[in-house]
Amino acid sequence: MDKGVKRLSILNIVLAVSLMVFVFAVGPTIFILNTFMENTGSYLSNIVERTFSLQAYTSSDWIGNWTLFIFGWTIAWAPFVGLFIAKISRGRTIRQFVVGVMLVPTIFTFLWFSVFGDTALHLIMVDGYSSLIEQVQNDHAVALFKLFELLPFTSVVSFLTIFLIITFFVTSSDSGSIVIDSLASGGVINTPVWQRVFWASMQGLVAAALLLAGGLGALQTASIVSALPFAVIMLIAMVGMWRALIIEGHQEMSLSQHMQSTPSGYKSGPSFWKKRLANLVDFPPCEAVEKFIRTTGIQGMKKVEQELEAKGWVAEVVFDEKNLRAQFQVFQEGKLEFIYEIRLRAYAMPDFSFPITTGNNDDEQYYRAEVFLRRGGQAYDVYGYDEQDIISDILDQFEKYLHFLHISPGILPWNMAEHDDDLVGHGEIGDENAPAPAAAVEILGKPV
Amino acid sequence: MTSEQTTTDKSSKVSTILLPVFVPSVLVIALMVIGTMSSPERAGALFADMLSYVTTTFGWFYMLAVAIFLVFIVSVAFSSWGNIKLGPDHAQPEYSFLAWFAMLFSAGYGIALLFFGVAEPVLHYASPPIGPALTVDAAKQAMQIAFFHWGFHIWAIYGLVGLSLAYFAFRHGLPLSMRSTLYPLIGDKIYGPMGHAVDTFAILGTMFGIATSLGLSAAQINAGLNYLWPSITPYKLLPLWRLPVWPPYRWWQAWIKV
Repeated sequence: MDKGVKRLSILNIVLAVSLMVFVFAVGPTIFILNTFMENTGSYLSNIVERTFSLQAYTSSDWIGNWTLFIFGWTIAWAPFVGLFIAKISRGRTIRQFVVGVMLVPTIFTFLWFSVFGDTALHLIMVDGYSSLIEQVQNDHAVALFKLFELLPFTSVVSFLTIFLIITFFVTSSDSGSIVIDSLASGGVINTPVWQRVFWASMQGLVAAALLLAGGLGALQTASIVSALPFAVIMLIAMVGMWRALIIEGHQEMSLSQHMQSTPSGYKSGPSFWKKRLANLVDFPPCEAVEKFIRTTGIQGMKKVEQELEAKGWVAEVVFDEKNLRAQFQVFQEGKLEFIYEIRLRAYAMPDFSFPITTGNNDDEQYYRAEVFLRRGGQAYDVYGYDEQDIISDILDQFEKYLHFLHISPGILPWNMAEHDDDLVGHGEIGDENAPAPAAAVEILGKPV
Repeated sequence: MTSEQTTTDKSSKVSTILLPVFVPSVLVIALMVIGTMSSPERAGALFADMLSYVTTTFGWFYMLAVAIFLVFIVSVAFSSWGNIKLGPDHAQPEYSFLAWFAMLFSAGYGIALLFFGVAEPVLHYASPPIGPALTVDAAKQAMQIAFFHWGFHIWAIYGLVGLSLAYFAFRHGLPLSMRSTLYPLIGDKIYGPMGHAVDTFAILGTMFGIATSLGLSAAQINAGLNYLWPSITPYKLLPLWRLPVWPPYRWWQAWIKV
């Protein structure tokens, strides 16, 4: 995400909020608060009826000019807004996403309409400025400025508003050309500049052409008509999402049903508790963990690999020298492969480590040998396991995987290469969105 | 909207265009622009006819679709699926909530708020769809309609598209493109003609949707300038400001990339 876009967005919202606060302060403040409450209530209590209302008994073009235009416009450019909010929402859960997207903008919108709309209505109904109605009916675009005319500091506020509209205009158009360009390239994000300039120019041409051919009416038509096929696509996409979520639900279930407490290492040997305790209070250096992965980790994987291959399965153990990871894979025709990986990860030394070795050195790190599966990091450390423990941990995960295949319908050849962005480089999609792991300060093998 | 790396990377001059998507989109847009430019009046009349045909014939479909989107997205959020991350399990959000909301706000609907914030309540008050005008009931109805038009429903639409894009791209590693949402239904065929068609429609919708926003804000910028300095009326050609030949456009591009 461009820093410029973020900075511009913050400028936009600061300006917009100040404008709203200004009108709220100089306008009928208490009236605005009262109507905000009342209108919210009336909205909520009528939402079901309005949702399905088509004004069926009064055949007029009202519904087409208002509700259908606004919804059609929204659907038409939903790929743009959707792509934008998708990109900035990586790493949130579905619930956080939906609550954030639905609730916050809606409340802000209600405040906005209460402040501006009710101030205008108050001026008309109570203060008797009924000429405002006619002016707005003649030219919708001038409404806001005619309202400012009746409030103090008219010129300054109008000037700031024009500036705000221009920045919105430019932000939307700039991001719009990037989105269209990316769609026209099959999802590629790194597109050459001239392509984006081309799309920006097209937008200007289309908007100018539509304005020439009948102003707002032509814009309404273009939005509503182009929304029709896209509404169908959205319905299909919804079914697709539903299906994917059902599959994922099965995966979730197979994991949780089998994930009994902690990973089941340390099961061997009579005095395993001593070994376990020793590992809990040990914060090993890089070399020790690397050696562990190279020896015990690989050996455990190899044993499982040999045994599987003896039974006719296709399995493979790979050691990635560059990133110091050991990976174990099992392949099956037409199914997604099983992946069990042990990765070396660096963490800042926690405060509770004992004894405090070198005083207050913040740069001090310790390393963990963490298990990564297809779905991403499992966040548990296998350092200190012996070969038997590693084998039983691999088999535990393999069992969950087989259970998942057993209960999940259909095939799932999802491409998960991008998940590696957590450690080296980035996937081709989420470059700018790659998160910094919460506690990992630096990751070994990654060029800084 | 794009990464540092993308905007500053001058070396990538190689075209990334996907011809089966690019050609039909540009063709439709070019035909529309040429047709409209060559005879604005005829085109204007045609647009008016199309508008009334589509709204009277398919009005019910739009309303039903939006209702379904709203119910779906709310149900998913409050089901057990709500805990699924948009990204791998270890992913963390990149933006603070405030920055996230600021960008959401700028992603388009700011234009609508500025344009309709005053106009819509006043217009509904002056001519409500039901009942007598200029009454207290008309005022209540006007505000209720404005809330309805800009409330949960439009965010359910944006949200559903955003959610499915984020889910398939970040959790399943598919391209960040509308076609990916069909993956669970048609599999690898999303890279074929069906996927191309989906993306073409997405481009056309986005193009005309953005043109609408640009048109509305151009009209409003003009109204404001005209209001402050009555001699200025550049309105209908204002969107051409987007053409890159104009120096201020380049200055702007330079500033935004700092």
